[in-house]
Amino acid sequence: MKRRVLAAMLAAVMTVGLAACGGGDAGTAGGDAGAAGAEDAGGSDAGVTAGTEEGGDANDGTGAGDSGSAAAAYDFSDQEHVTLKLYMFGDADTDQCEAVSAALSEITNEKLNCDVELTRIGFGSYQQQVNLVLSSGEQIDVFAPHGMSLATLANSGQIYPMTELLPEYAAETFAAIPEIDWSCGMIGDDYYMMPANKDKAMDLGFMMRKDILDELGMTVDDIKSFDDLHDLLVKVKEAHPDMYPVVPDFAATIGYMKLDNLGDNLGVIMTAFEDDSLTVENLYASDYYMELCTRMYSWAQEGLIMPDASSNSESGNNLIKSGRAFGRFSHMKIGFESENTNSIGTEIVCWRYTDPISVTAKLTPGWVIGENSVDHARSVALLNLMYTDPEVSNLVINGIEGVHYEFADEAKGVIRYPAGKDATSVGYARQAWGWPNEQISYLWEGDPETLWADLNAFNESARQSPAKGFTFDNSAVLNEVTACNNVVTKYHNALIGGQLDPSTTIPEFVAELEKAGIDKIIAEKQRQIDEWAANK
Amino acid sequence: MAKTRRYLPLYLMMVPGLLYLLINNYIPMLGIIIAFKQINFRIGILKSPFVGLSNFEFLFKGDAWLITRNTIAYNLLFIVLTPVVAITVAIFLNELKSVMAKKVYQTLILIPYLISIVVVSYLVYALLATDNGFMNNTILPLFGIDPVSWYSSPQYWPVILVVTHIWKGFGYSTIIYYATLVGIDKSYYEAAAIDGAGRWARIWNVTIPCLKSTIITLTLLSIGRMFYSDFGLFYQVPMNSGPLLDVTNTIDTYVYRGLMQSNNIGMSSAAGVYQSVVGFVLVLLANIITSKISKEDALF
Repeated sequence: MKRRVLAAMLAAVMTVGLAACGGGDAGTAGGDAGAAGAEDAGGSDAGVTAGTEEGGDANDGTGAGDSGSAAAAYDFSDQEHVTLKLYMFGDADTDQCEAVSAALSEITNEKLNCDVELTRIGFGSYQQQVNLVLSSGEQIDVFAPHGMSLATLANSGQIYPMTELLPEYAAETFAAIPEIDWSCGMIGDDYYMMPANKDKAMDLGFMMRKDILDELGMTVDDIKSFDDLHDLLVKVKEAHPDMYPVVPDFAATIGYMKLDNLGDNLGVIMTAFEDDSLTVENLYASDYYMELCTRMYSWAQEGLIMPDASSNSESGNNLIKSGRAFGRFSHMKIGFESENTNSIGTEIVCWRYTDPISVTAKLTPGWVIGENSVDHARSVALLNLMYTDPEVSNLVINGIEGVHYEFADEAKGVIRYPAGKDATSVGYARQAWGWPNEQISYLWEGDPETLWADLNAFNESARQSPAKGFTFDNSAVLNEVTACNNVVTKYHNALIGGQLDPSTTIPEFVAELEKAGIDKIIAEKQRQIDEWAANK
Repeated sequence: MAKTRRYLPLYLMMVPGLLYLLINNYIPMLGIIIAFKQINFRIGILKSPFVGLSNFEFLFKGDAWLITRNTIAYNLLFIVLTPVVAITVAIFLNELKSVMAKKVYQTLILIPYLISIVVVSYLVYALLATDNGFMNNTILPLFGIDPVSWYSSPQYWPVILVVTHIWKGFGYSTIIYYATLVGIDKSYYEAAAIDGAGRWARIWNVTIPCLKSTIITLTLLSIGRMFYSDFGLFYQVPMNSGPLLDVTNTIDTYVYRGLMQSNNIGMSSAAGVYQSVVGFVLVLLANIITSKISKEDALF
């Protein structure tokens, strides 16, 4: 009997052991995180003390007169030399990243007494890889939280609040970015994210190949409404039966709508851009959503949308590039045409159906500091350097001259790929908008000379959502959010891609959402937004 | 005392293995506490607050019944069908006379097992794509059937998934059963032949009984994994298509989809703990049943 009990216990231990190996990357990773977390507590203390010490120097520095250099206000030269780890999305070959890191380290060694190690990860796996780094407790100093929830990162203590560090170590950036933009990176009373100086608004539209428009004897100005677009698509289908008139970008046929999605589309402000309302509603139960899906369904029935849109795993631009597609819906900005003409290789024109609008989410991903950073102060200083120093900004965005780009017109600061190279073969993806400040970097050949002025005018012309600056903290309703996310995956992309009949499917969709607790999420969102508005 | 000294070298030899088990399988188990905490990396795992069972709640919201049903039903089908196919093929292999043919077939049936599931998903896609798939373009027109929008039609997927899984996995089980078959003493067959048993009678009365222990062990092991699903099969092969979720969503894909965005380590661990506890209970149950039927084949 005794032997059997022992054997049963052994079996128990084995199964749980298996679980720990299989299901629990989380388990083992968590163990490491504990150790590293403890280690890091010491590190951050050191950072704070050093910070106060440096405070004096900083004042001296400004008193002595500003040389205009970003690093003038503080001095890290008497501190220990460190290596900061910088993570950014976009594909790049390891050796190209090393070359850029080396060039960057030359500058940072002089100004911040540190090396910088840049890691770039493609869009598809960026979020997952960075999450892994964060939860395993590895060192990560500065990164763009692309596709991650700022509230979750801040609440689980994975990123570090910069509020106290900003005035000292990033004074110029702190002053340069308007308060409304900073507030979009606020959780509680702390700044966690530095917004990038990029397009901060969007307009919505349909992008398409100009050569085919020309062939049909039409121009983009002929399109005035969705009905006009429909008639055009029908003509495209007739002239090119082997081509999909509309393709999705990955699984989403339409990614954004004219409303404030409040971060995750579970509870949105439908009329944010009509009457400045702050009422949170269920998008999926709205008439607007029903109308949109009905239109897409009838388009799909006519064969205007790529079949199986919701299981597509290719980017919309690649589908257009390969000649299989005419166009796609997208959110846009100033310079969108030239940017996409460059990357697709055939001229792109756009029909826009909204004015520029701006919501909190347009300020993301921005840039954050990891809790596990070896030196929070220096990480903030590095962000400041990337924001203010054109040499650094150019280096991280465009890479190295002669390797990743060459001058098309040096006097005007216009660059292009070196002879014989293209976007893929150059090995260092240009993701200008993602970096802290694209506006101090070189223009790309084909961009209008007034690009940055235009972009700023575009940003300013945008209608601001009444909820701009509000970030939803979902920790109180995480169970409901998880359940609702599953329901949305099941229906949304298939509905918006016209694969399902909305008249029967949307009622099912809404019923399942209600069962999964969307009303609780909406109530919580409304409570937070009212509180936020009252304190504004 | 003398006995201890005599066995001392053996005990010493056991130390590395035990250490390995301890470090690799026992210490990580402490991570189970993560499932009951709200982790804050700033203060560390040990100091993070306990939140009781609230990390487990999300598993039972929404589609709890559906995902549990899918996970268990598919696994039951796999547990029954994989051995049937694998043993049949193993017996065929064993009956082959040509050594060359045996080697060729062994290699061929093992190839699907070695293909990455992502590649498999595109092979399936090549068959089933709505506009340029092999089924809709070539097979269905032969029978005059209209094209089917496979990735929006959940009713076909239980069959597609089971066929894909068995096609991919049977080669591996076949090799294990075949290894047992090769080990069966030839004299049993000779004796049976002398007694006048035909080929079928020999398979039924000699081969199958000799395979019984292997079948029971492999089945018990897969019952322990019954609460886990093959993530690649259920996520990649249906191309993460929404309309198919009713028949393709299992515990693993549900957890992945739900937590992709929220990056909540506590909830992921909760799912892991839930699966291992239920898996353990299933192994115990299966073992109790086995020991009732055939005592010497039970694991313990």
